[in-house]
Amino acid sequence: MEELINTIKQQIIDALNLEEMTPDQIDNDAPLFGEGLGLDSIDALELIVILDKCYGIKLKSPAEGKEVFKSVNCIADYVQKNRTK
Amino acid sequence: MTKIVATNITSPLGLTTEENYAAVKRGETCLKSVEGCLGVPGCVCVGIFPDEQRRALKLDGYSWYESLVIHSVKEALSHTAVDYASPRTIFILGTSTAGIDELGDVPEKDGDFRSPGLAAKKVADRLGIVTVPITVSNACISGGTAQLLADRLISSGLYDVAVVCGADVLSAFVLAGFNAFKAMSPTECKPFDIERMGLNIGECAATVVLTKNDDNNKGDWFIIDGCLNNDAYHVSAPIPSGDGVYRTITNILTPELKESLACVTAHGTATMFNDQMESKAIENAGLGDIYTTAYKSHFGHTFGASGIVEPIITMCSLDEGIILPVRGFDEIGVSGRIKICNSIESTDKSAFIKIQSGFGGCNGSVIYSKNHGPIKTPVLLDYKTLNEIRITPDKVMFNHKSLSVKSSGPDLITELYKSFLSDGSRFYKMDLYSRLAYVATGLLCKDAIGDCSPEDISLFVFTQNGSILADRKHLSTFCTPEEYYPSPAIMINTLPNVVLGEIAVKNRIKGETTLIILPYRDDSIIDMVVKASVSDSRPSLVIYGWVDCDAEDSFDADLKMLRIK
Repeated sequence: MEELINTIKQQIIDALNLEEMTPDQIDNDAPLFGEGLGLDSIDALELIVILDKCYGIKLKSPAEGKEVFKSVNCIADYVQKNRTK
Repeated sequence: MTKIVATNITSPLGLTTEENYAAVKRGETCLKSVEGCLGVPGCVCVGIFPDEQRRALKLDGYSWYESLVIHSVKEALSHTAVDYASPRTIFILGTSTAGIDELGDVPEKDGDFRSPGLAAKKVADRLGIVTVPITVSNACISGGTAQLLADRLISSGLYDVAVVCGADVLSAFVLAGFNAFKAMSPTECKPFDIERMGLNIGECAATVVLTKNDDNNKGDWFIIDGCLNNDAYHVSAPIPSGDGVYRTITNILTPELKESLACVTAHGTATMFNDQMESKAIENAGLGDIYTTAYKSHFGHTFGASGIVEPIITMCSLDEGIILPVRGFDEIGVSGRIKICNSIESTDKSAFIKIQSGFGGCNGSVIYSKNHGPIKTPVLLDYKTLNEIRITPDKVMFNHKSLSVKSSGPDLITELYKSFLSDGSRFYKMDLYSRLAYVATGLLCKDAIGDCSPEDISLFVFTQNGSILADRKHLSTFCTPEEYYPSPAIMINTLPNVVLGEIAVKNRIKGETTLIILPYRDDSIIDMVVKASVSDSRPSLVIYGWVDCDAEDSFDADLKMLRIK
């Protein structure tokens, strides 16, 4: 699980161009949107692409991703349960 | 104020204004579900030309976009005797993408490759128009912006005739982008309806030919006035209050004009956010009691064409004394108190307002009427240059003094960002052209805006290659069906005006923000467009100039900030 969490963090950093940020600077439980990492609606759509591209998970809309994208822990949990690749 | 002397609509519903209007009046749509459309996995609902019609319209040696523009303009010009080969005739295009997908087929640096500006030049040459064409790329409001620019150039006495064409075509490029944005409805769109699920993309070219008023009216339509602005909220979402659209309406709507309006022709894209926001703007502007109509369920969202095709349909309907209903609308699904036209309604009024909004935070309103209004007299501008900046790969000049920098090329722009701005913005998510424009305007505005109100600041950026680097990157994200992962963050940068939204959000710019593509840099055109626009909208501060980037190591930003007295 620890490994998956770190992989996801790096994938988020790369895909969202979080310049000069390292995986250990992202708190596993901190909210990704608003406070915390401060991601926005375009980033949410980009996270949907990560899930599809890296783990074969297809979310239909950002609304569906609302619970999944709460924190890195939530994403890792969801990926572990639903991944197809 | 200018007179509309000829029109054309070239869409899957017909090849003339008359054919299109008749089809819309009959309640027809060109939207249909297509499996694997242009290589997009799954099923999409789009407004697309049937293959047979495509083959008939496509011209050898011209792209599909260019072919549609040529058809539309030629057909419109066949209805009028204006001298389009005169140096007093200007050709203005409005497009969000200009069929950029053909990039994929053409090797870089190939002589045949055409940016939107060069495509416009090629079309102008074919049509026999001799002046340098101007391409407005303000995303979904490009068509409205193009008409308003034409109105301003004619009102300023610079031209006698303007041929204005708005066009966008369906491409794998655009479909992939909007797919990634999750904004497309899987079924025919339902503007303003409670069950609306997003937009459909359509393809179309539409033309209006404008002249100055010559007192020889035979029931002609006029463009009375228009207003553009930015809501400085977010690059891909409109401000929920509808404040931007509201301000464009109230800025031009005198009590007399308000009294004369038969209806509001809305943008009505059928996305959750757009329709809700528009309903608030219409209600707050005091137009909730007259009918609101919209046509995207007939044509789809035709982007650059929408701001021209939609007013043409309303002109035709008001010529018959009727307002057409919104196809697909059943139950109101917006909170603004507005009156959606739900069946053919009769009216004795002959004026309307067209409203529109687009990516990059831009909004626009244009008022059309059969009764001509007062003629605007051009105002002589008195201005003072506050700041000037020039950024090239190895040098930065600020007010004619060289700034000491350590890096060069793309790193130079990042260095400038870190040294002077570092504002936690979306800088690192931008393509190079956007970063360049963002940093250059950021330096110009730093400590220079003072107490100037955001509504009184305007921004005009001129370019040749615009978002070409982002376009190429976007194409690489969906080259095969197995590796089909278009990125929303890259897609947003393929609209060259989106960076104006980033700049507006950062610097609180709520006046007009306009992006113009030229075939090549021509400072006399830049000065002419800015002066004609500024003498109409009268901002206090203007930021304008050239921003271009055609490779990682080849870019140029040359911008000025003026104070208008």
